[in-house]
Amino acid sequence: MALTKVRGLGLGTLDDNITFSTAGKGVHLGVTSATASNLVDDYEEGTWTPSFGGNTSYTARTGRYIKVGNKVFITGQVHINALGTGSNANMTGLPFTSVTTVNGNPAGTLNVNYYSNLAIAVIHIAGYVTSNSTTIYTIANVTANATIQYNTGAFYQNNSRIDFSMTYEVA
Amino acid sequence: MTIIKTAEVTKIEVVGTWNVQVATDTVIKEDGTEISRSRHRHVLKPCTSSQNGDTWTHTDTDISSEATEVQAVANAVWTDTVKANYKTFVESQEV
Repeated sequence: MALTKVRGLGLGTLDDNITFSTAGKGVHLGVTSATASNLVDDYEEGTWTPSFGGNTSYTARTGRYIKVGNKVFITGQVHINALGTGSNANMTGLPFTSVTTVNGNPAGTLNVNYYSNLAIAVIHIAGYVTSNSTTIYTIANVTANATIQYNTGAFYQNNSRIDFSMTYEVA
Repeated sequence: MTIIKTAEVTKIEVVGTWNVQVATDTVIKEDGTEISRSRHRHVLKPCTSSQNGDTWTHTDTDISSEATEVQAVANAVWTDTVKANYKTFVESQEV
């Protein structure tokens, strides 16, 4: 008989995963009545493929993601072999489209953990994803105390490598 | 013992007006019993766009390598009006 309701006190144990018979259902955590803000009903993990577009070839590139509700946590590593006609500033391929934000505010911010062989000398590098987008725009500073900005240069070239992580919001 | 690896398109979601989100599961079965499943995601948009000065170039996305059902959804969603709206949106983004 299918389990339809659980009532009881104290500790209980299960010997298998819980699978709902209807998609989109979850668990209300920390409350004693159904409360939307406490509902955990969306989790997914997998891979994605970062790309500079064009005919760029890669020595290595990997991407992983975890989605919990409307937040997506990504990690990635891209090591370019030959940039070719690919972008020297923007990376595409995010696993989910970002939320539509107000006034063009970013939907997430890129953290760069490692880089090598960039085309320009930077003192700080980061990035962001814009509204309703799957593209990461690179931003950097090449001068101390300057306002960080996009279009400070062409960042990537042959043999560039960047390792990164980002959290962003989706619809 | 027979091990078979297949790719299954498990989700096709239209997000907003023009985004086609695709989830593809790689499934490994041993003698018909699933022993592994992993997910890969990508998002399709109507065009790839680039800017050179004030000039924009939009190239229709090549979906010929996508699964048949993905192509069907993309072709249904990406009407001429939707493509035009997407191009307008891209060109309006201040980055």
